[in-house]
Amino acid sequence: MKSKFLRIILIVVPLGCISFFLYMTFFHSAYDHPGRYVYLDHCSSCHGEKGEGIQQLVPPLADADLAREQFDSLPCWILAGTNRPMIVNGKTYDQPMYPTAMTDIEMTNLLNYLASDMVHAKRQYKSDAVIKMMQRCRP
Amino acid sequence: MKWHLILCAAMLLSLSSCKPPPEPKVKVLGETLVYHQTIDGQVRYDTVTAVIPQFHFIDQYGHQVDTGTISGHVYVVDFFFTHCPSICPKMKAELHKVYEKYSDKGVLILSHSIDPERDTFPALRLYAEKLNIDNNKWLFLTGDHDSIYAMADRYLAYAKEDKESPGGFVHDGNFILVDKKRHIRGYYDGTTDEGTEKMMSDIELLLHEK
Repeated sequence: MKSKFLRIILIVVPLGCISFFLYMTFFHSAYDHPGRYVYLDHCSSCHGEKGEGIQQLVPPLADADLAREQFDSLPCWILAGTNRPMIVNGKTYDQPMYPTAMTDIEMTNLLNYLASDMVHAKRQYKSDAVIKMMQRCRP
Repeated sequence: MKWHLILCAAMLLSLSSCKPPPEPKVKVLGETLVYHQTIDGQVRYDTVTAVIPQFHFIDQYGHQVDTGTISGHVYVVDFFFTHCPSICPKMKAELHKVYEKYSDKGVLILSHSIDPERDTFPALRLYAEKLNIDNNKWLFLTGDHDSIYAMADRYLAYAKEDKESPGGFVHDGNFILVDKKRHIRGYYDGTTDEGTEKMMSDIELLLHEK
């Protein structure tokens, strides 16, 4: 009786581990971040669905060194736009960035999404901090 | 049993007589005119499909581009402006895929700017360089205001000045596909991957036309 129970455990546990591993590898990306939808609505038409950018016209966001180093500037660039030339991963981009209106909830979700899934910056934001960041740069 | 055999044979015969499906074709768009005249007491008909008329524009290098430039080429047309904050960048990213795949096969791209004030030919050249275009396969065109907007009408494209909209202009997000004889053959949503894919499959068909 006991050995049968043990045998079942010996089969079920490794099977569970394997299926969990497979799930995390292949299906975890299907579990979308809420900021992904903000990104697709407001950012992807220029920066690309995967953050790849467009040639020398629009800089990439995926693993972009500038976005990682100046992550806290992103809310102002998004809200007010910017004309300053940017050097991203060694290339210069000087097409103006256009302002995009956004609520604080959208901005919080977007920043967290960018930090975790695209820019890969070690950041995490709560909406009260984001509201302060947004107020500082509203024209 | 015998009847079954005969029935089977009949079915096989009817299957073998099936014709192969007709070759896929791309429709010619635009108004088709039928002229008729009486010659020696007989009425003769002549069908004329719509053709893109003669045009003259300036490309990003300051060179003149006219119907001679595109003669014998399948080409793609879109309308845009370089200060466009909304759909233009996405359309340019999609067109770049078409450029990469078909520029070596003789397909041309004509991007008409609808903002002649700001998009002078040096400005267009700068924009083209940002897209890494430095040849005659993808032309960014400008010209005088009225001829640009008249051309948009001839392509049945929507392009207007509008102070209210972002950037000051509105235009549709379509790619227009034109064949070697200057007939419009298709409109595709240039803001989606699916629209671009559909256009590229139609380009394949047009390239095989004489």
